[in-house]
Amino acid sequence: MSTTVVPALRAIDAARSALRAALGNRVRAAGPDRTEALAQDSTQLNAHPAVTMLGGALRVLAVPAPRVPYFEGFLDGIQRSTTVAYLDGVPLLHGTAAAAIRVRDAEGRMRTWQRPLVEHSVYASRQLLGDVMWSQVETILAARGHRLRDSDDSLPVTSRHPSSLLRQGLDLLSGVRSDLERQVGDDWCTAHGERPLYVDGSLRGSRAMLKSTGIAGVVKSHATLYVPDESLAMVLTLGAGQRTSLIAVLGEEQQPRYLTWYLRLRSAVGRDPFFGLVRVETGPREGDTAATEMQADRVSTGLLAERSPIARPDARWDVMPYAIRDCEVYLRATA
Amino acid sequence: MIDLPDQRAPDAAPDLPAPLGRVVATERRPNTPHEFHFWTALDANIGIGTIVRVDGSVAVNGHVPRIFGVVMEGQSWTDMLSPLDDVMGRDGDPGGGHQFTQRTEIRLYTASVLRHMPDEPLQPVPMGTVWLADDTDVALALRMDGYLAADKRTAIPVGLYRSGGTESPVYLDADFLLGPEAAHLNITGVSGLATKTSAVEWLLQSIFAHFPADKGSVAAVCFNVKGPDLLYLDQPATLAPEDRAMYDTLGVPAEPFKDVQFYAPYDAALRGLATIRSNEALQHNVQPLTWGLREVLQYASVLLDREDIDAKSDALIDFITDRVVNQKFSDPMLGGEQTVQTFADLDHWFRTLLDGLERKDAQSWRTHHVATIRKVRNRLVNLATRCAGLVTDGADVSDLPFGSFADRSVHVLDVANLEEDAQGLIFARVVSKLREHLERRDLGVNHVIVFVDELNKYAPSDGPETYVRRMLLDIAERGRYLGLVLFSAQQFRSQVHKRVVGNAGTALYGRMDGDELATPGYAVLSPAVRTKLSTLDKGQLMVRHPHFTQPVFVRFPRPSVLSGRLGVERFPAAPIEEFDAAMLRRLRRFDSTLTLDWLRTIIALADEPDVIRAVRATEREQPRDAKQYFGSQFRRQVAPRELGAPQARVQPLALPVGDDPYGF
Repeated sequence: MSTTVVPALRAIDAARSALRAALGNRVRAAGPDRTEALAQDSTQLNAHPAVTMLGGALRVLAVPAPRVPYFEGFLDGIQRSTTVAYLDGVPLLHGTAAAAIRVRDAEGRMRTWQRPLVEHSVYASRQLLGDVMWSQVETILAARGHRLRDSDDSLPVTSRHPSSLLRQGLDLLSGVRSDLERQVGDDWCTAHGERPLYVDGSLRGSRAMLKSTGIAGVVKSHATLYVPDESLAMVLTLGAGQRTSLIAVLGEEQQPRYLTWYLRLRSAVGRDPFFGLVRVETGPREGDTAATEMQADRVSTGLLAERSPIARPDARWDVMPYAIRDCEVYLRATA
Repeated sequence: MIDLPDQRAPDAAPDLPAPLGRVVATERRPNTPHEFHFWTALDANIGIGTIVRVDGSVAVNGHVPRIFGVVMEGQSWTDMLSPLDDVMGRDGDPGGGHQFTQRTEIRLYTASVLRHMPDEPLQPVPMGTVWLADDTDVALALRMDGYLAADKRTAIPVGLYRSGGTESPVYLDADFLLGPEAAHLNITGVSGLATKTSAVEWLLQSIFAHFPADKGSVAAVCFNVKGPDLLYLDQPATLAPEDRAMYDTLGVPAEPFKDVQFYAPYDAALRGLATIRSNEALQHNVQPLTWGLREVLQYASVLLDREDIDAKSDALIDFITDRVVNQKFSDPMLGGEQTVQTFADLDHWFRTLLDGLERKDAQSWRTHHVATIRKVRNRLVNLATRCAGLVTDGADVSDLPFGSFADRSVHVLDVANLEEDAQGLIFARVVSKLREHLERRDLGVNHVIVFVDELNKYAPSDGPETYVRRMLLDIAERGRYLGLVLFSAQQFRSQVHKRVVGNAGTALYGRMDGDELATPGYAVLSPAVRTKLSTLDKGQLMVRHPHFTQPVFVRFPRPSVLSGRLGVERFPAAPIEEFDAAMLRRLRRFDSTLTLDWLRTIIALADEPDVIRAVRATEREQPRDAKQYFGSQFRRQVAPRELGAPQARVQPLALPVGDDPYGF
């Protein structure tokens, strides 16, 4: 096999060199390791949301180098599922969702802020089980401390295929996790107001978090692109420590629901264009654009400060701060 | 930074100590009945040798198990997958990439079980909370509760266990230190750190202070085999407050030994004792160690080369020992009756015998060939020359007080300046005499501790069989039944005869050499314990004792006696003197008014051997009037004689006869 692979790799290198010689730095190494994953993501790409570029057009900005930590807390959630049984072919899915905030102590060690929120439930389709069976199962599970949730609340039953039903249950479980994350985030806002909190994921679900200037949601996946196609190359070629200017995501009545921007945490040289690329969300701000950009710089600098230690062995280490991985490990150990 | 609330259980009492750690076990790293693992906070005050307590949570047979252990190994790691992660995290710059978050890190300790309570059923250590051991825990963990009880207390303090703010006395069991259950003690440690000698001095103090009265009396015989280490046991040391505090905690008076006698043979020139403890101010308890023919002949085999002395020679020596020495002996060949009591007598006896044989042109006497007789004469008479200073030609003997050893007395034999032959003879005879008296129960004490350093030299694991090694083996294997206890020390335990160290019920280890620790005998110790042993401070020991299922680290105070180095500085050895000055110094022990002029007047006409003999006689008798007694030694030898009135004698003039002008 090696006799065929090695010449193939040589041929690829040769082709890349030729392209680079002809086209310059516009040609970058793709990094073969995530090719399959990126290709699969294409099945779940979402449409462009309605956005507007603050300041007129998308620009590339250099982020100041970090000198002190910015974020004080790190919010993340986990979910875990297993199929308990099939009842007349209908899957009973046990799901655990949990969310917590971890904070740094004086020595830089991570500790848990307050108590994590954890929920254990069983998910099943009430429509397919029928009311009688539902009640019976609910009673049995309640005696053992489990709550029975109707996965039909997530998506209507379209198929009796067990895989479809499991997908339905997982969607609901994911919603429960988001709820817990939002609840913990809201508690932080209540307790600490504007103090900086790193939220792993979007802020869209929490009105309280969107109101707080210190809270930033960091999105690692890019199924939805928030820039028009003509500006995409600018995003994909951001250098390490560079960000885009602010993008306002519009809601109903074309009012900004939240602000977002792209930030390159790590150099993508030799990698695919999404390597080290995150999208940051904060709530909309009133006032001039310059002040808002300054706040975006502070948040971005804070994100750059979290690049080390790296979060390996997590596969998303290029976009995940160590503190978030720590939060995940903590939740998996305790929930 | 966010203030975090106290994470202790809300119902925990505020004045209770916080748990130290939690027991953990995985399939790959399970707990067993003799070993368990636990993690602690990063700032936990714990280290190798710390004693901990585990409280189980599930009752077995109605009892919640409680386990005591001692930390033998520690590990730490982070969640870093590969060292490369740190390189990447810092962009390849060791000084760069400041990390505001510290990786999750674990301190995982492995402890060896000291004790399960209850003892049965013996199960793997359960999951539970780990606590630092307090005083009571330490006593229970080391099974000291059995001999600390007031009604049957046999506890001898050996040091303080210190860890995590706990400072607990650690005791040895006298029944297992001085017999009869087990006995003997061995100390290993590198030279130069004063650990071995200091530990023995401290332990002797502790034994003297705590050996229970109902167990009888105890004395110590110490062989000072090098330097001045043991020569100032009666002089106080200057102790630091922390040392005094340790003495107080351990209940041992911080004072020098009260009853110490020092013994040393004379030097080869017979001008003084062969010891560094020759300062005039310290002579009140220094005694000569001299033996005559009777004392030496029984142990002549120590000095005689076994390959040189064949069966024929052996038979003649036995004959002389049994039939000649110390009794009237007559034989036609000798021409009359002789009594052999000294080496000089023996030499005369041999000369008379050989002269008789020559006169009669005989080749043998009582089946002994003349060549054998000449050979034995040569070897035996030569002993006094080889061990000059220890063995005397005459009959004057100065010895240990066998039969009247006092309780809590220490007898130091300074053999550091002697040849190996003389050292061997002293060791063989002293130990044999101790053994004889202990067997007859008439030594004066019930237990004698014999301290011998440099076992690497005296009881090596290889090399030719020697009398001294046989004696050490004998003490180690049979001494405890008699109350004869061996405290031994060496630098390399691995190179000492296995049966000597193996029979030591208690073993102490000071700082160890890395090469020594690499020998198989230390394989039972964890790498962390071996590392700790190689870096121990002065005053730190690892203790193994029959009651302790695992080694325990303790600290002991500096000895309350003057160290050899300071002793030499404070009490410099007397300078090498002229003959008469040396003799005067020996006599001034008994009468400080004696002067050099007086001595010179007395010995003006005497030869040096006569003077030495007179001084020895004075030292032996210790008369009330030393001046008169010493002088009398010479008057007896050169008795005054009254001359009669001169008688006038008239000599006739010699007249010339004939023509001889000179009259012849």
